[in-house]
Amino acid sequence: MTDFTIREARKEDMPQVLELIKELAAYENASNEVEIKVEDLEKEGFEEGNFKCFVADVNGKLEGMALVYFRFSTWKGRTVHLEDLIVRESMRGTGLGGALYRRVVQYGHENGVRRVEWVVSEGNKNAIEFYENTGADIKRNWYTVHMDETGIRKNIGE
Amino acid sequence: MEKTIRKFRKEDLPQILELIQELAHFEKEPDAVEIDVSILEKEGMGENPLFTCFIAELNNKIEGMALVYFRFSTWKGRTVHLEDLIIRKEMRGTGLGSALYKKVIEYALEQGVKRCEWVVLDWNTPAIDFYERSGATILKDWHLVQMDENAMKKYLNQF
Repeated sequence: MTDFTIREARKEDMPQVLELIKELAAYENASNEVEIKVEDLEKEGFEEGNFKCFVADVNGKLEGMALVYFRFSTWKGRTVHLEDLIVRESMRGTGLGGALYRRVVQYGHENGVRRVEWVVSEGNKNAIEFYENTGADIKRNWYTVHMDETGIRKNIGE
Repeated sequence: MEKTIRKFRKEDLPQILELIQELAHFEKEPDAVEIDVSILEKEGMGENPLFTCFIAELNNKIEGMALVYFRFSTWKGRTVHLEDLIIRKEMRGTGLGSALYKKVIEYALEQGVKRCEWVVLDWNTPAIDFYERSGATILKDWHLVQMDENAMKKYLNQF
């Protein structure tokens, strides 16, 4: 049984949080997609308040993290969005993921939101089953649309 | 016909809610709208607003709106999310929708974000075609997951 603490991230945790973000990107063969830097995480999370991060701390080493922020639904009002929940590969199955997940739902509850939401890759059957077992609803009839910088500039005629 | 796209003001909120309700009705979920004008005011006005809204007016009457807010991608940083773009039914095809769409993209550019994003129903082929033509990418292999209030309580009560 691993001894761990789930706590709010501090500014000085951001290098390790970025490491986790990069580990996940590498796992998804998308390392070059990570354009963010430690300074961005520090500024957006701790000066601008644009997200909140929970970390799983195992004897001072961060082995997992969950990053959340508020969104606004025109039906339900304020919601909590879970952007990333990452557990270091070597630490899977130790309960860190479940504990972070629970902390996020608790955060939604504390903030009185009517919904906590996130996305899942359709191929991730284990995750989908876990989410459904916890009472979440999988919406299979929506597509996500992304317009990147090139698309943005194309529309503005630059 | 004079067309105006502008940022919303407090006095627009009742009409914004009307548009939200019209869309919910159209989607056959009239009871799904749990917010009211006071929530729009609380979350959209003030020092740290959670969203902003652009209004489309035709001859000084509000006929459409686009509601956006920031999200945070751990790969790209801040992004702009388009939550709703609604045009009153009888005003479809007047160009108000594209004008609002363009305004949202302009806003993303001004804010210096690397991505503008939204969701679309998988059967809405005309919208999907329009988005693709405008340079957006449709990601078909992600599902949305939502845990509502009751599920949250039920889940937390186990511990």
